[in-house]
Order: sequence, then structure tokens, then C-alpha cells
Amino acid sequence: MTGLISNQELGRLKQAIFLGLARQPLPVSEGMQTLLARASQVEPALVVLALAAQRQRFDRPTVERTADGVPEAARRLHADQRPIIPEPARRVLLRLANGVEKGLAGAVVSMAVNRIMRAGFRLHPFDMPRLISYIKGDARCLGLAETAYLLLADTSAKSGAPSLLHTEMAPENWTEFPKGHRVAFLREERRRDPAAARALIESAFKSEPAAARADLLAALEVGLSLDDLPFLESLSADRAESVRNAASRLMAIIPGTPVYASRLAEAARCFVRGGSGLGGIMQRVGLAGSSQVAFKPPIAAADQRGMLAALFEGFSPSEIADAAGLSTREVVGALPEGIIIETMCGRALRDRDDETLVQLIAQRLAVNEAGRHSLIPMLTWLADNLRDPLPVDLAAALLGSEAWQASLRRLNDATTPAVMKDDGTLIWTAAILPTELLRSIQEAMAALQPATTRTARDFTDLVLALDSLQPLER
Amino acid sequence: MAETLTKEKIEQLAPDQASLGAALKLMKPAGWPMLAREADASLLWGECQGSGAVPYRVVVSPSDVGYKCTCPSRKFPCKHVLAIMWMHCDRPERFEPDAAPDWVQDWLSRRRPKATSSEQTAEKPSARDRRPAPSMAAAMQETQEAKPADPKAIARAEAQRQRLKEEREATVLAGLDELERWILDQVNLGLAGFAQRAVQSSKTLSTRLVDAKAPGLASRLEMLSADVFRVPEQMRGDLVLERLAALTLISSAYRNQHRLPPALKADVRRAAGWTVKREELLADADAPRVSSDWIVVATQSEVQPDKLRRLETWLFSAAPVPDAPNVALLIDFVPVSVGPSASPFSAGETLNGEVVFYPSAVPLRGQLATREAASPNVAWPALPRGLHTALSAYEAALARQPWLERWPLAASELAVERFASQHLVLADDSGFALPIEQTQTDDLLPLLGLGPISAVVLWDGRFARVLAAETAIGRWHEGR
Repeated sequence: MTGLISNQELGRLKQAIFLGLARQPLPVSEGMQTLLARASQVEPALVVLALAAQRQRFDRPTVERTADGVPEAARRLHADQRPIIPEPARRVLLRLANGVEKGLAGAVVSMAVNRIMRAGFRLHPFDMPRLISYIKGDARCLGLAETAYLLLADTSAKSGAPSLLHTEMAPENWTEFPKGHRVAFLREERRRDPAAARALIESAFKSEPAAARADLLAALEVGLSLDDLPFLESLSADRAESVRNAASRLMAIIPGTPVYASRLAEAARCFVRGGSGLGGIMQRVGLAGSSQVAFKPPIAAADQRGMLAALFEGFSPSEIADAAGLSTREVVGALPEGIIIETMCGRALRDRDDETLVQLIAQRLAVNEAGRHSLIPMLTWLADNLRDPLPVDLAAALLGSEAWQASLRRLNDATTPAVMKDDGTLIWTAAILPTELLRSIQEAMAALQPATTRTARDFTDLVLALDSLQPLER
Repeated sequence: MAETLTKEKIEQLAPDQASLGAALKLMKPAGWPMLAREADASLLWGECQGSGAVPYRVVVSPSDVGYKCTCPSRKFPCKHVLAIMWMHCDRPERFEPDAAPDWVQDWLSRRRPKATSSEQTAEKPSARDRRPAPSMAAAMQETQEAKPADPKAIARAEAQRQRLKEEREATVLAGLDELERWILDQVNLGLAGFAQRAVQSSKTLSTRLVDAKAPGLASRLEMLSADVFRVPEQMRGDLVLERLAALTLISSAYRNQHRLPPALKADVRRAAGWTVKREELLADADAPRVSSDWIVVATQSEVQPDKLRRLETWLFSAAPVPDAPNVALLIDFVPVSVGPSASPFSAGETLNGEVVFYPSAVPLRGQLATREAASPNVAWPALPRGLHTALSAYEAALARQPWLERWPLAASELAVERFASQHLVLADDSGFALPIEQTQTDDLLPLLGLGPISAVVLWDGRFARVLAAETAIGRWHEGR
């Protein structure tokens, strides 16, 4: 075929066909004339069209290969030393990711991947296109392979991004990493050396976009002290409102400032030992036991929740206890359900004070014993923030609590698909349970409709599959 | 022990008498390559070979009479569900106890709760109007009473078929005249401007081709007006040139079909829109047949301009036989109006079976004639090294069937590489490379730097579409 029509001739034929034979007649060679004569019953233009196209179809493609055919990020993607998640667990992970409801997908997949990372595995590279959007904002889920894939998929990234060449983040290279990594790194650095970490933020601050500046600044809440005040004050003129707000929030919770002291005193005044009201009268006449500490909120505000959050932000139960002349246990025992516990949990988490965290969660369950309030906000927060599963006894208390059982009954009694959907109770509970209790939640869910429990079941199956892997595989 | 199905319950479930009659006809063992149940009969499932290229998958939960079938029927339950229930009543021993496969598990975890069977049966009478209730006995009687065929009636029907066929041949030829005139008009106007007038111009002609009983050509024409906007602008002219040339070749070959070898004649008739029924194909002793362990390399679903969903299942032989096709394409068409549907197979699955290929100069499309579980641990076969052998096979196929649109290439010692900033190529170690469809870039990024790989790709002369690849870290499948 290529012998019959040369490249030049093909070019001329195509030019005529593209321009239109009405404008440019076909330049037919002698060899082709013979063929046309043989196909006399067919319109010559159609014969030429068919021959030219067929000649073209036998041309093999010519692709100019480039030197960076395999970018550095691709090499790093496959050089990660962690073992790839074994196939049985991988299948469960994909089932989970495919079946989870869209609204929950990001958080659920991110938690699942976090469990995989903690078990010592990495994602299968073939699953990254599907899963990366769920985990890219969570530094805990980004090991070398996942970060490499992110850079590979980011067409705007510079070729062979240098951050991949460093296996460890260090003060010399931290700015090259994705934002989630940088924030996590700064928080760790703050624990180790607050002043040095602040200097790192200051050095990179001006070159960062507003959203990144606000997020980096939030890392200062770890190890916050008066030494940070000058830097935070200098940000009152920052051009981004989000940065100014973040700075002023941090200034309000710096221990040792007059604002802090006044807030602490006001917060402490909310805790009063029984002595007034019916409890106090009963105590005075000897009808009540030891004096109980009660929580008495300040004057009601239009935005009570916001007011309480602002008042208690950054305080630990022990700081309030010291200021109020009470024991920590008394303060925790007096905490009402709601935002104050959530705020204090945040502080405990920041301080890695697991003991206080557990006390606060237990109190949250105790004050909701009647099951009047939804557990969802607390479960969501815990699933989002806990570094480790709950202790076994607290987790067992959660499963046995009236609030949790009420949720289970509601799902069991549901008759419409909308109500049958897991509102998060099951999946967030599954996400924070220790492995020892996963069978218990599976048993508890057995009576529910499969569609209701699908995500939670897949999640527990995944954790159990990871747990069952042989030490060699780990 | 799960609640058992009774014949009365099945009769109550049947949407009409015809469904029970149709179900009865399906109860021959040959139609069910696979029938199984949970050990306690709490679930029944099976595969029924229907009129499509791939078997329908049916699952039934007897306790609450939940069911699912992959057929496109709008009757609920369909005849396949009724048949499996009926078989379980009559011949429970035909159901092998087994662990529920993935597709059954998947249905189980997705299904919504149903109203209890008593609620369902209570609702039935009002929904049925005044029609007589479907009855199994009546269905069996109808079958037994079927009158022997009247030879005269058969002859009349045959004569009628022949007359209709001749009429259609004449209509198709008239359609080809119109097609050729239209192509000539396009060439005179110039193909450079085809994209601007493609949609309207093609639509009018494709409607006429449908009227001319050449739906295959109509479909090709409608696809052209869609595909022309799917390729980069600089490639549009070449695409139009090749597609119009292919239509010209089909038209010319159709007019001269008496001079063609039988396989190519079959090709050109199918390209025009003549169909071959599954039964006819299976009964064709000359049709190529390949029995093998097959790997389902990919499944694809695409809505065609004629509002049919085209479901493609690509099978790759794990034990290729020299000079026999090693890739089979099973195609089913489902009306879009029946809702979302997909191939019952999933990429990565393996099966053992005989594929009967439609007679063709380049056999590719086929029907699954028999189906069994594949041998355990089906391995990826050894493939020719590099792209040149595979491309030579493509060129040979193109020479045998000049209007070929795409062809599967299978080769080893390949690597996915990046060229330009966002494009990928499939390269071999000789330095030769095929550009990969840009829609696959994101999915194929993890294969960068993972060479050497062994792959099955679809090649259309411009872009490669990777269907599956065997790599050092496992098998990659498109869309899995």
C-alpha cells in the first residue's frame, strides 16, 4: 500500500480532499489511474478517498520520547519500603470506599487508610487514583508513596520535586512538603523547641498564601507562651482576615496574659460547690452527702454555645480546678454536656493528656445517660482526632450507654430508607473502638439491615483483616 | 433452616401467566451453566444463558423472596427469577452448596429491606385486576398442548421471510446509493469543514439509513459525529477521512459481496446491520470456537446515539492457541430506558468456557457458549516481546478487514512512560511507543516506572487504550 502512494502523494491527495474537490481537483498519479480504471463502476473520488485513507492507516505513529519518561516521583512511588497492603485487606478497603455514602466518604476512607498506615502497610499504587482525593489533606495518611503519587498527579508540580528526595522532614526541607505534612511537622517541632519552630514559621510566612498562613499559624497553639506574643501581635496587620482571626484567637489563649487570667477567673466562677439552692439547703440540714460541685453558666447569651466556647477555649480541667479551688475530678464531674467538654477535649488532645481525655469522654457519656442528646458530634470529633482507639473499658461503656443503645434501637425500628441510613453512629463508633470490641459491635449490628451497617461492617472487617495478618506480613 | 419456597408462593409472585410459561421453558439444565445455594438454602443463585452474549446472573433470597437478575426485563420478578425458584421447588438437588460469590455478597450488602412476604402476597390481588391468577399447572398444560407445527404454515412463513429478506436487500442497496452520494458531497465540500456540519448532516442521513434497514451504517455515521469531537483538533481531519473511507469500503464491499470470501462477506453484512441470532451462531459448524481459561480483562459500558447501552466484556485467553483468536469480545445491548446496567462479569474475574466467534475475516466478537469455573490460579500468558509483532498483527488484520475500527494488541516487555507534560505512552525497549488515550492518564499514573509490564490494549490507529496489564505488583485492569 505504501508503495502505491508515496508520502508526498498522500499529502497532496489529502490536501485536495480537505479543501474540497470543488475547489482543488484530485492530483491522481499514473499508478492510481490504472486502479481507477479497474473500479470503473465506482465514483473515482470515492476510490481515491478509500485508498488514501487506507494508506494512512498503515502509517505507524511516531512519538518523540522524552528524557524524563519516568519522573522521579514515579520511582519514589515504587521505592517505598513499606509492604503493600495484602490483597484480602485491600479488597475490603475497596469495598468500603465503593460502598460508603458520599457525605461520609472523605472521613471514613481517611480513617481506614490511617489504620492501614498504622499497621505498617501502604496503599496499593493502583488504588491511589481512586483514594488519593480522600486522604490528600490528612498528613497521617501520606507516606512516601502517597506523597509521590500526589506530586505525580499534580501537573503543576516541578519535575522531580525535591521533597521526595528527603525521606525525613527537617528544618532544611520542610517548606517543600505538602501543607498537611508541614502543619504536622511544625506541631512536632513546637513540642520539641517552641522558639525554633516559631522561627521556622516566621521565615516562611510571607511567601505562603493566606489559607496556608492560617493553617501554619494554628500549629503555634502547641507550646503557646508569652514568647509568641510579639510575633502574633505583628500579624494584626496581616492582609488576610483568616490570619488576623487566627492570631487574635491564639493571643487570647496565651497563658500569663491579663486577658487569659480574667477569662480563667470567669470560667472558674462557673463551678460552685453546692451551698445554694435546694442542694445546698439539703446539705446544710444533713440530708445530702458530701458537697457537690455544680456548673452554673454565666448569664445566658444569644449565642450561648459560642460564648461558652470562647470562654473555655484553651483551658484544661486542672487549670480551672486550681483557679476555682476544686479538684480536677470535681470540675470534670460538674461539666455539662456540650461545647465545654468538646473544647477541653481539644486541649487534652493537644497536650497528649490521654488520662484527662478519657475522663472527659466518660463524663460526656455519663451526662447523656438518658440518651437525650445525639452522640454523633462527639463520635465524629473522636474519630477525627483520636490518635489511638478508646481504652477497652471506656469503649465498652460507650457501647452499653443508653445513648448508643437508643441509636441502635432507632435504626432497628426505622421503616424508611432515609431513616435506615447510618447517621454516623455505627461507623464513627467502629472507627474508635479497640480491636477487642469489634466483634461486639458486629454482633450488635447483626440485627440491623445490611444496607444500614454496610460501611461500619466493612470498616470493622478491614481492621480485623489487618489485625489478623501474620507478623511476617507486617 | 431458611424458609422454603412453595409453588403457591411462586405463583403469587409471578407478574403474569406468560412469565410462568417462559420460566418453565428455561428449566432445562443446559440453560444453567451454574446453580448453587448456601448450605442452609438461605440464598440461591445461578447463571442463565439468555439471548445475550453473557449469561444473566440471578440471586434469590427465599426467606423474604428478595431477588435480583441482571437481565433487562421490565417484569418483576423476571422469568429467570421465577425459573430458579421453580427449579428449587422441583429439583433442589440441582443446586450445589457453595460459598456465595462476590456478586451475590455484593447484592446482599446493598439490598434494601423488602416488605415481608405476607405483606406482598396481601397486596397482590388488588394489583392483578381481574385477570386469572398465574398458575404453574396452566403453564405446563400449555407446553404439553403445544400443537405440532403445520408444514404448510412453516413453508408460508419461510417464503414470507425470504420475501422480506429480498425486500430488505433492495432497500439496503438504495440506502448505499444515498450514502455514497452523501460522502461524495462531503469530499466535494472539503473534509476540513466537516466538524462544523457533522451533527446535522450525519443525523439526516443516519435516519435515512435506519429507514433503509442498514442500522449498522447509521450507527457508524452517528458515532462519527460524536467521535470527531473526542480527538484533538489536529487529528479531526484524518479521523473523518478514515471513517468516511471505511463507509465507502463497506458500501462497495456490500455491493460486491458475491465476490468476497465467506468470512468477509459475513463481516460486511454485519457492518450493514444484518444480525445473526445466538442460536444460529451456536449451530454454525464453521464458526471458530475456542475453549480456554479466559481472563475478563475489562468491561465497558457506553450509551450509543441510538439510546442503546452497549455492554462490552473483553476476554483474554490464558492459554492462547496458535492461529486461534486469543481475545474475545462479548457484546450485549440494553435499552437505556431500563436503567443502569453493567456487564455481569467484573474485570479480573476468570472463567473457563467455549467462545463461539462470529464468522469474520478477523474473528473477535463472540458468544459464550459454555461456562464453568476457571481452573484455580489462572496465570497471565506469555506474550510476544515488544510492540512490533503486535502492530504487525494489527496491520495484517487491517489488510484482511479494511474497515476495522480497533484491534486488541497483546505484548510484553513494555513500559508506561510520560511524554510532554500530561500524556502517557506505552513504550517498548526498541524505542517505539504508542500514545495512550488521554482519558486514561490519571488511572495509569501508578504504572509509570513499573516496567517491564505485559499488557492487552485496544489500538485504533491513533491511541492505545490499556485494558489490562500484568505487573510486578499485580494485575491492573481498566475501571477496576
